[in-house]
Amino acid sequence: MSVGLLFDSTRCIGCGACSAACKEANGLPLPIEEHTTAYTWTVVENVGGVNVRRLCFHCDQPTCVSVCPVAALQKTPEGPVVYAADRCIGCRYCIMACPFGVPKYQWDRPIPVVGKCILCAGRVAQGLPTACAAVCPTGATLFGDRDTLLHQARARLAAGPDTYVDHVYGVTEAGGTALLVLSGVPFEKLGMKTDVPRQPLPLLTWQVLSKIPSFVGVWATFLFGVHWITKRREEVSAYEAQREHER
Amino acid sequence: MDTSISRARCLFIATVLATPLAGSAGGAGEGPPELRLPPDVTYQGVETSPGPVRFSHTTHVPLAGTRCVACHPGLFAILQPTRHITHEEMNAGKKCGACHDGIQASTVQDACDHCHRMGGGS
Repeated sequence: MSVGLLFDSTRCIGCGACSAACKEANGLPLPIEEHTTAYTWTVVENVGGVNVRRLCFHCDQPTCVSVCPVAALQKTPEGPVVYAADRCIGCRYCIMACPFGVPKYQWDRPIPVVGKCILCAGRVAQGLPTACAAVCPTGATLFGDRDTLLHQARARLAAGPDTYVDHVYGVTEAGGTALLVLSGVPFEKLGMKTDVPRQPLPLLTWQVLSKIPSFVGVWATFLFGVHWITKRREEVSAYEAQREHER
Repeated sequence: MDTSISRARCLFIATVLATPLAGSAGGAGEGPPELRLPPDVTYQGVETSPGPVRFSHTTHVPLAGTRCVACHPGLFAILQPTRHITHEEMNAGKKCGACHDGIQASTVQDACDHCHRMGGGS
């Protein structure tokens, strides 16, 4: 079982309780900034009169995890993509790799690390909902089993075809994410990326990386063979030249 | 290992139980979403206090423009309830005193019975 969040932008009133609870639960410094930063992991943005939350999507197969050279980012079996700042070397590959532009850097620090939503992994491990879902006064953000939430999201789409755009964002995006989003207006109008590949992005890297061992092996054998043949030929010709000379 | 399994199981059961409740609240995005505010908070106060104080989200939220961040988490924690508030804090412009300064809202300096329910109970 893996957990997830269902965010229904038609129910969000933009009160900001999620941001406040996130700051408190994760011990992040105030103020709550306008957009997500390394210190503000979730915000509610008002885009054309619609309130939309910004936070990590927690991909099923996260690109940030696949590119991190020191495994500072990890996908937990429960669902959250967590981050260990003490392992981070600050290379910012995750920032470049994320298809949603989620991880943010501490640009104001001499030794910066990355900041992003960790789906309240500590609370989730204790059986609690994420802080944002716990305080949401309208139920716009729901926490639960991802499959159950997806079922619920599809039930809402079926019950209100005039209310919603007929798509649950996060079902196929980047191969599936723990965060599911419903909207009454097209997702691109909310500033959400609709050109995200539908397959898990680490697959693209894996298609290349998985071939490298055999590639190296074949080339090493071939080049050694060329070297051996060339060397042998030189040795033979040198030996024959010497025997010719001795005669 | 056993505890983690039972926790996961508890979480799953809680999710299954909570889903029909969450689904029944507000019908498929029709009309404005239902606002479920936290219950009233009663501050019992110290022995010298003239009586407990009851705070109502219902009366305060419309004044804050439904902006939870007007008070949370800067003035009051949102996950952990505040148990105790002193007049020193309020006089320094913290907690209730951030708004109840006699300019933005009624002052906390006089008229004890404005907030404190004399004789206790609420």
